[in-house]
Amino acid sequence: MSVSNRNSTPPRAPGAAVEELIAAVWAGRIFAGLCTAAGIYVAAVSLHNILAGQATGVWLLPCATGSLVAVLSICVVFAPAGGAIPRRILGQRALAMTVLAAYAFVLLPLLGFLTGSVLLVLTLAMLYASNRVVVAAGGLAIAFAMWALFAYALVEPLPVGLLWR
Amino acid sequence: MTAETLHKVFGLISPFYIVAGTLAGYLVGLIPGLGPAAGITLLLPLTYYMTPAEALIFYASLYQSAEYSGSITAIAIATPGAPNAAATVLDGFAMNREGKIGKAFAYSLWSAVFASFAGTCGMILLAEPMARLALYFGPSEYAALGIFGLSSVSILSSDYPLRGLLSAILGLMISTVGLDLISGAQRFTFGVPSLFDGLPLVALLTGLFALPEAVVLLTEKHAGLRTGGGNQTVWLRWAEFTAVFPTMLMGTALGFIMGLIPGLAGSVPPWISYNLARLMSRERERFGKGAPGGIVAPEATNAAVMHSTLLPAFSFGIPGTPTSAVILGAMMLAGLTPGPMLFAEHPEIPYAVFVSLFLATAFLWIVGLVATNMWVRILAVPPELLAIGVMLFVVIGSYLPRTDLFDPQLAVVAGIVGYVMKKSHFSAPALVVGFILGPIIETNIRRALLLSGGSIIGVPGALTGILLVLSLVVMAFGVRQSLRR
Repeated sequence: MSVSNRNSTPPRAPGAAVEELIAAVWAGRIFAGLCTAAGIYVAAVSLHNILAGQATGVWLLPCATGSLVAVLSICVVFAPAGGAIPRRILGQRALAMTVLAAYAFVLLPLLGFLTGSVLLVLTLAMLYASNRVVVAAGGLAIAFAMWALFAYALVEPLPVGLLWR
Repeated sequence: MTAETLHKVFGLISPFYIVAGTLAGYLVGLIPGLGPAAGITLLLPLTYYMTPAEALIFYASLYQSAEYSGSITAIAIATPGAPNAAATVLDGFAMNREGKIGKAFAYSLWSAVFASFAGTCGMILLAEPMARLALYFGPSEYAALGIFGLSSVSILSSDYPLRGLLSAILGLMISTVGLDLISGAQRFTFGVPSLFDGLPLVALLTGLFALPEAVVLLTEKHAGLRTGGGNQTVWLRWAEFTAVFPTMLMGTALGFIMGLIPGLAGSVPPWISYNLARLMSRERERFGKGAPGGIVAPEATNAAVMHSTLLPAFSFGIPGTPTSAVILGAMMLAGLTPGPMLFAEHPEIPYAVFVSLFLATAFLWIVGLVATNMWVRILAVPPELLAIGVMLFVVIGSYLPRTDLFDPQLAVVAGIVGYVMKKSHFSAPALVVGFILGPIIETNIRRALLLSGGSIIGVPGALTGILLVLSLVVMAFGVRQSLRR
């Protein structure tokens, strides 16, 4: 006797979870979810401080805005907006932001502005420029010009000490 | 104004910053997507090297020319430099295709110059009476006005009102980070010394406004950024000028009035002006095919809006648009308190800015006549190079004010958040308006409560009540729009 499996869910295609995550980002659900969490945290901390006897005025606005952010972001979760970006461009932009984050959080503290910027310019020129030589040369010129203009405020090279300032 | 003040006004006018601001504005307006708000935020760190008057003159000149130069790309390559210039594309680019790019530039330039002169006159006439009116506002009226400005900007200037409102309140919420302004208590600093003064304005603004645009510039292929604009004369004959003068006048008046109402300025007024000009015209069928009125109306409106949005910022200390919020931030960075006290304590500074705007308009006109064709050639610079320049500028610009590595790192995080917000229809500009208005609203609410002995019922006067009801109406309208969608 054969058993029909018409009601069972079809197997998920590989990468479906990633697609769903990307769709949720563009629908604003992820950002709204983060806002809900932040709003609840801010409102709860404010309320706790008010109940603990701290001045009400100090925590009034955080408490009110935190609550409002939580409520509105829940509404947004249930009223998503459409929007999509082609996968190829999305990948390129995510990579650009990762490079930028690596520059700010790793290269700048460890290597300083000049060396970090040279590496950033070369990386971005290699990854994105259609005319790599012109973009790399121009970018390096900008980096050196900024370094020359603002060197008095920069601790170079290897300003690891900046991390503990 | 006394003779002594007048003497001080002329002493403060700085031709160098007028020229520098106008040229920087030309450049900012030409880069598609960057816009005046991002351009001013990019250059905010320079405030530390200027006197307050120089800083305001520089940013006002930059704002004025950036609003105009967005139309250059709209006409040359059908890509508006700023969203406000979108209406100019229709007839500007059509006129360009007819081989009359010089004429299209001329209509755009002359209407922007006329509206700028008229707008500056309006500012001079209205600024002090408005500031005097603001003196009658107590803390509760100020707080209510701030709430009204915030709700209007967030709801009316966003395609997704609920998301705009959420962004604005999020901005209010993050403005509470740092030491409390009145008691000095720590709020959400997590023991991090870099957060004691609150989130740094320059890092937050540059990250939210400039970095997302830089990432888009870096990754998008701008096939259209090649143009052979030719070297046509940017000039109007007397008959051509008089033929479009009524449209110019209509666009200017409409823009000036709409700019005074918080939230109504932005990309909407030029479209309203365009449609009105089409209705007024005897040659309606030419609109969209290179009609001069189709360029003149939106451009005059844009220029007039720019001037009148600065009025509430100067007189009340309440911004009506994200760009005027950024200028308000620049005023605070320069150590000035925007609002009626600015006119009471330093009347020479706002008037020096107004007189400088006349000179900046004249310089804008000269540069437009002589060098518009040259500016078009800047579009041939690889966009990836512009993007890298913007990124480096954001990093160094956010680092310099406090020489704290935390700030460029925050700018990068804000850039990523700003990009996600933009693409998922949240409003980074509304967040910035909320962030800047936060301390104003909070301080005034608390002052009002102190004055009323802590009673909320005892606070509202008639004006406070009206403003709060108006805010509720605007918010209800926004929520209704969202639910309909």
